[in-house]
Amino acid sequence: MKKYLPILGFSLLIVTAVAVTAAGTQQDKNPKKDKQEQPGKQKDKQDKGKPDDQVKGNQGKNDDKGNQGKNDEKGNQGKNDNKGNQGNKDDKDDKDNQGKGNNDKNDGVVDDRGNFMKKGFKWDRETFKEREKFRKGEKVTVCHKFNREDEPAVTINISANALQAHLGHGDVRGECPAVENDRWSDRFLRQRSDYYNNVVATNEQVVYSQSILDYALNRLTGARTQLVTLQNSNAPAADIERKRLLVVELEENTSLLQNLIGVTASLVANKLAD
Amino acid sequence: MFHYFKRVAAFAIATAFIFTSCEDKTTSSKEEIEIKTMDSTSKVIEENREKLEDQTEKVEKSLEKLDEEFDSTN
Repeated sequence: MKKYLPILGFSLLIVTAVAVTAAGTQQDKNPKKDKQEQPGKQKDKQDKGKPDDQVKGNQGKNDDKGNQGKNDEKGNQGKNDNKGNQGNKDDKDDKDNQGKGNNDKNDGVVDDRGNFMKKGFKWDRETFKEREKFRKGEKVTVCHKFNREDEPAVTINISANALQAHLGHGDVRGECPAVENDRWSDRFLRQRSDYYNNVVATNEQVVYSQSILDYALNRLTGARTQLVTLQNSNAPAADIERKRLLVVELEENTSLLQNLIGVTASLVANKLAD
Repeated sequence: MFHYFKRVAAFAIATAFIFTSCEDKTTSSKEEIEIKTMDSTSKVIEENREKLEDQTEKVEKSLEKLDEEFDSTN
């Protein structure tokens, strides 16, 4: 019997080591980690080659445990955040918040990156004067849910204009309930919350800036036409020159704005969609 | 026999302890890396947002001047 004991002992050791390693590997499979480092990649892979509608249809099925991610329509969310909602004619809240006529005039601005909202404000001279109503609008707190079921929901503050879009994608108004877990430290969760709030604020700024850019480009066209008319008439040269300089200034500023929107939008693209 | 069990058990416990410690450190360091990644990304995003805000304001001011200078036909 004694001669088998070392073999038995060695086997026990191997089994223990394998069990411990397996337990560690399970813990290691925390998908959130990979995801947050490169948000969007997972979804891109899943959605590759599928039509938009199909993608939308497939999302939202991942019901979640303990509040962590009902995860409806994340890709959709990335697209419609803020802007989609801002332009939604059916959204009564939007009309109340946005001042005059923005919704009715919204004919939709499709973002060429395909990541953001499909529609945006369409300002005119009157509504443009009241743009501060939009900028300093009410903020609301929502519990934002992600596509993946073990991705914990995150509390974010959004523009009231974007509320309906978020609710439509499975988010819940109010703060996320506290979830007990031993997977993430408090520090990590706080950092994560700050990170996503930063993304949301930037996303909203992109939407707003894009709407201003669209309006500016529209105004530029009109101003150029008017300038040509003036040049062909007997208008004083000083007047023409003053107007021309204003047009040039706006052209330069819009060009810079366009570049900045592109860069910033690419930084936050899909960050909330996973 | 008991003597063998004692030796084997002690060795097994020590091994298990080492494995567990290594695993905890790996997880913790991954979280740390992720925090740093989020932190640096946040900074970049914030800087760009500020630039975007500033530039948007410049365009708004240009538009206001344009409104004053050009008539309302466009």
